[in-house]
Amino acid sequence: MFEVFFSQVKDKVLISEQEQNLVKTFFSPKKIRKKQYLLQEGDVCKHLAFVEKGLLRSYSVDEKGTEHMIHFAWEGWWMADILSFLSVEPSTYFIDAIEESELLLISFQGFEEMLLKVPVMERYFRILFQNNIISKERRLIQSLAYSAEEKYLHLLANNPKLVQKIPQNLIASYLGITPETLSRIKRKITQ
Amino acid sequence: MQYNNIVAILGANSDVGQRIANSISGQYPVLLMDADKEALNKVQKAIQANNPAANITLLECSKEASWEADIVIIAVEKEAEQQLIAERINEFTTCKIVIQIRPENNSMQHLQHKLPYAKFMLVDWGNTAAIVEGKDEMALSVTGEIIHLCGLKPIFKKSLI
Repeated sequence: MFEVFFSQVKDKVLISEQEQNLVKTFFSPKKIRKKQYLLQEGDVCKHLAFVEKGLLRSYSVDEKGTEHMIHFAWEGWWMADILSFLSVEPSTYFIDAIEESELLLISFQGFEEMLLKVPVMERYFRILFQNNIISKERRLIQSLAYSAEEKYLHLLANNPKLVQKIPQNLIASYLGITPETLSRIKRKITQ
Repeated sequence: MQYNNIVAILGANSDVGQRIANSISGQYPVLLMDADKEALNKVQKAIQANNPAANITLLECSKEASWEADIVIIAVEKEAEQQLIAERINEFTTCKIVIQIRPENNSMQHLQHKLPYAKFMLVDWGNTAAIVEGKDEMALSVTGEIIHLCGLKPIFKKSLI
């Protein structure tokens, strides 16, 4: 149940068996079905979710009902509305499962307590948050400066797994382009 | 929109299990678990006859039900079965609310020691009231709401567990 989680943690920090056993007591295992919500707009995001198995997405919905993809998370990734989680304010996002998923959830209180009791996890999360800032900065630059084709090629080069696993309409939404434009770009590339 | 906690009722065919399922299925999505699938189907049909919109899923495995749920209610009537279920679901209930229902005039042992990382609640079920015992404030409040929905008065007791 914690295999992927601890393999990911061990990639970044050294953690003892005893520390691992303590860390386990702060996480709630949760299985969710395809299309089931983990968070709905207007709710406070109460947990950070680690994906042991499956695939989640976060997105917002505009006034016209159009979904705008924000983030995807599969095995070994984290998912949350971090702004809502840390500020305890209602979220503007939805999080649901694209496929049946096995998650590990930690509450804000549990998170704080775990960082106090297992300091090595503080280092792990610092590295994680650093990487998250870098990735968000990159995405911002891409959305401002890249053409639709450049955005897709960048995604293909850096996240081929995402392109393989996720339906094309969701990828188009993630890139901020229409599905028709994405099809056109893909046709052009294969030619 | 608000996320509703999913409640698993383990032993949903028991008298108390059926009553809880019937009372809370309008408010919470419920996972009904029991070994006798045929009887479980009848319980589901009876609930949905009164409340067609009730969100009910049937499961035969206590581990699966506890894994999917946010709140777990152990409503089986026999002590040995309760003990067995607690052992099975332990690793799936860390940080979750687990409510052990102790039927009226029954002195069965509480399950806290078997579920050390759950937010454990003990409920002594009565005719008109239920005594609710546990340490976690939020879990006490949620358990009180469930008891209230079942038409009983929750009486909160300082936890001795």
